[in-house]
Amino acid sequence: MLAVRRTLRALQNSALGRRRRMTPEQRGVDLLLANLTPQQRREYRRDRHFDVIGGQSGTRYRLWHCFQQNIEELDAEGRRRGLWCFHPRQTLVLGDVLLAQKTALELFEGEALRVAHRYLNFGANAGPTSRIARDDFERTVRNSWLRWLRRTLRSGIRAIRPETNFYRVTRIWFVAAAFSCLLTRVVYGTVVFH
Amino acid sequence: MSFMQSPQTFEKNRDRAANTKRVQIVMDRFGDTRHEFDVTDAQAVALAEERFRQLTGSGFRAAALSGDGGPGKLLGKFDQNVEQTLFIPHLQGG
Repeated sequence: MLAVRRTLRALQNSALGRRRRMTPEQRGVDLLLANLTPQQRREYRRDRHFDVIGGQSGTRYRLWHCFQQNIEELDAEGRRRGLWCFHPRQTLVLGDVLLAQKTALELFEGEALRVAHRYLNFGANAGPTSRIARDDFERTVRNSWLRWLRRTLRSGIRAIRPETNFYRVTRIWFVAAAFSCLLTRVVYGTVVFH
Repeated sequence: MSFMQSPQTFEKNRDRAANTKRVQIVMDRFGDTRHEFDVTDAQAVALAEERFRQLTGSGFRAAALSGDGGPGKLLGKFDQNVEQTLFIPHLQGG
């Protein structure tokens, strides 16, 4: 049991270490991706934006990976009605800002829009046209697929493990190994020396 | 093999351990800071409750994350049954 505990602790420490080694921007994106629905995640990786439904009004908002004027209010046909801009008062990384905006629109939409500023069109260097935001996206989100793959594999293994019954498989494997050893010995002894 | 637990006991213990872990995620300029605690540890729960009170008192909004990306729940007071609590700083117009 001690060996198992040590292995588990080592795995946990390495996971924590890996998380510590990530840049704040990557950690922000990681947290955001972990809290998006599969559809939002697909949309975000592909188009640099994802849609959120307002918790009180049922309005659809499109959140762009951008530092300012990044919330597009859409009508039923998906056309832009206007732009909103609000963000946390503290300086946060972009992934965190997007998650804060998503959570605010879903859980306290009215309050968030009361403090927000409204615009009719994207500014010269805001929304989908922002070059800084595009570069940031390439650096943090596009390169996150490897991290995602690693996490998916890990959770997959975790999900499968209880059904495969690790201890029973190990026991069977030990018995099979001992049996094959014995068999090899017998066959070897029979064929070579007799 | 006597030192090994039976698979059922092992799974039961592991599930119990996993179910008692809670995490408070505070957004900050480093990405986020995570505070993990165990609900079976009274002292850790008291610390977590104190942290909750301090953060919400200083303008943070607390939300229970759903885990599947769906809308979570806004928390007005500390709830030790919530697995992941996200603390969002005060919002302002940009």
